Amino acid sequence: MLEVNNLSVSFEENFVFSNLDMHVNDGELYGLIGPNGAGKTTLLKCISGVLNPQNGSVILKDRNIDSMSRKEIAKKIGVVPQKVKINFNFKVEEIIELGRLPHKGYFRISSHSLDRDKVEEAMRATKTHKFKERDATTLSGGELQRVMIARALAQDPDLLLLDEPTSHLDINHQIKIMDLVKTISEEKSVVAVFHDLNLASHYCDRVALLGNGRILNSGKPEEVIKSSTIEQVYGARVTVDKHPITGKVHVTPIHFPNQNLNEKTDKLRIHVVCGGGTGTDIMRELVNEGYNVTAGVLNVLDSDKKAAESMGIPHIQESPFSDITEASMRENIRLIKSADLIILSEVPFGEGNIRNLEAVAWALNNDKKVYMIDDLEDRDFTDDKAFDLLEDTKEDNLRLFKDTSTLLDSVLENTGD
Amino acid sequence: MVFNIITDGKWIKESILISMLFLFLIALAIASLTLGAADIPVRTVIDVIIGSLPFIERAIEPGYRSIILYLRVPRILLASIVGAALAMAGSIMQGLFKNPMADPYIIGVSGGAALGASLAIVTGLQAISYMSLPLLAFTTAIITVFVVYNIAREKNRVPVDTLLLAGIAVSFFLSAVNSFIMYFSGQHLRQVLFWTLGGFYSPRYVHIYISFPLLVACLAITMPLTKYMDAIMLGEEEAMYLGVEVELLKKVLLIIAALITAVAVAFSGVIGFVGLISPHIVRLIIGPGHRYLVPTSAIVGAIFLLFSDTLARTIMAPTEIPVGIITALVGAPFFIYLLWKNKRRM
Repeated sequence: MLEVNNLSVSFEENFVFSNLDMHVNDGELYGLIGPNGAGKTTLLKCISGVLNPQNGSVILKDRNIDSMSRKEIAKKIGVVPQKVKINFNFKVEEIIELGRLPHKGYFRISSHSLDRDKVEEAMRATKTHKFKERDATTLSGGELQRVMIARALAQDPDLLLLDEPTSHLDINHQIKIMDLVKTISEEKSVVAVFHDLNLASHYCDRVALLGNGRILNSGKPEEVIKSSTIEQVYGARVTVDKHPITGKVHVTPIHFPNQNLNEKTDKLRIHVVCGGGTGTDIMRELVNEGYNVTAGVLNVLDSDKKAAESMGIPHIQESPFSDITEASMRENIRLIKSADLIILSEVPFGEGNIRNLEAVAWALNNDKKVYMIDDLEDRDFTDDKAFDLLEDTKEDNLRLFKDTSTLLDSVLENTGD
Repeated sequence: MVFNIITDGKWIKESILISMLFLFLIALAIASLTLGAADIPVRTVIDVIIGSLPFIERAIEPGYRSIILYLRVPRILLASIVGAALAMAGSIMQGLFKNPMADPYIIGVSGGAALGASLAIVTGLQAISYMSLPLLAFTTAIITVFVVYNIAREKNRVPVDTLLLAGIAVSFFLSAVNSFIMYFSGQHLRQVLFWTLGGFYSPRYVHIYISFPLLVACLAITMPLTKYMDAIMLGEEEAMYLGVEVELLKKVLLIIAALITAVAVAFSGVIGFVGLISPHIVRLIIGPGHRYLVPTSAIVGAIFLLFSDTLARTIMAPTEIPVGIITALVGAPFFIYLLWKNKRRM
């Protein structure tokens, strides 16, 4: 449907992007994402022919838009701007009818029945029929956006371009508009600029990430939206998670109000032995309070490992479906050696991670303080191996607590400032 | 074209309105013919009009005949034409600038024409022929618009905001120049002042032969453009997305508006308010769609100016008040009343 080849644009002294290639298929919703100033709107303007690039071409259905008049382009491409201000009290229907303008001859003053039909269709698709007689200045943001989409649909285009279609809308209208856009994209192609990565991920068939003057990556949302890429391009720490059922990724910014994550402080080094999600809260609390946190051994598929990774916590990881290996064990002990305090979370023990408890036992025998919850028997799935392990250790290095919050309170009281 | 409008079905209300307004204009014209320093009965007026047609004879007092045919008819016709021209230009300007406060003089036509007129008077050029003042006024008006346009122009684009500012700046400058000329005009001061205030003191059929065809031609060119003017209301960029050649449209509209305004001002001086409030009145009744706004504004403008001019020459008969004063005195309160009544709608 749409081919963008080797496109380069610069304004006066400022270069926006160069050698940009893009390809949009029929019947797809293609999202453009990227930080402010990356050139998303500029790219949209080049596609619609309003801006002339320094280099490169835009081919719509095998025709170069350079060779098309503004009117011809308007018959094929409909553009919905981000926000429109209407100064005069036009009726909604009059605005939608403007969409038929590219199809009207110069001398024609009244409407043909085809115009009438297309306008009706557009109103039905956008559910704007019920307020077609209303003064456009009285519409809410969401209603007006629907009207503008109807106007673009009335042009009967093959391609629809949307510039941040929902940025100024409340969440209820965001969903309504995006559902509408998704429906439209099944017949026509739609290219939309998004600020909201989660909206883009949820609705788009494919996305392109713009940054540093080019398209850094394009493809399915889950392929493009990765935490490392987002951090690199947007400069913000995020965690990207995949919904287990829908398969869509969503982005959550991570925010630690109390400290700069990469700073080494003079505070205590605490090593957290955890797994199965039991360590996330502990690690977060400690990092927030400014401690130097390490963790291990964590299985690669474990959510605690993801948490540790997003928080920048150095940790030892183990391959999936494998018992803790000798190498990981050694690394774990190394971290324990340099820690001031070891915390064992409420992680259940099985054959796969029993060696973590061995590490804890080692800690106790080597004069390392260990804090843990006093319910090991309930978490022992190794035929009491765990219990036996701790039997022979030095008792005075061990402190038991009845639950995690008491444990954390104690840590903060005893070692905090 | 009228057929198109009516068979469209939806626009009955607007078509009826235009027709009614047109009939009202004619009635007003006939009424105006009877009024004046010498009140002439309607019967006589009709006799004179019919009698002026070929092959028809009527017995009329020669005095009445002269008054009607050589004083009042051209004056009424010219007032209607000028009113229509100013109102049409006003509706175009308000559409171009997307600003309801725009009037036809906004790009410097009035200042430029006033300069030409005062020069013609003060230098005595106007004595050469009755056309020399209007010609000079028209020329300076067009030159001024040209200058304003080029100040605002950036390569091939004319940003509307810059155009507005350039027009204001040049108008201020010309106003100062005109004041300067007036200060030194000595015995001509009264004449210059009267011209500036606007009026139809010595209308001739020649004025009508020039202005009427021009008005009709400009209206004919503008009508197909009205749908593009509606598109510009959404924004110039949005209009481009709808396939409108925005820069070309702006140029054409500017030329048309400048032309008809310059011609109007050349023949009648600077008459204010007609161009500003006629489109507003129409918008408040039938809405902002330009297809009806432009022609209806023209008729409303004709009615308004004709009414004001008749008032101007009858209210203190036999003295005449400059019509620009009447349009302001009548127009401003009326405008305020409309605004007040429709506060939320605006």
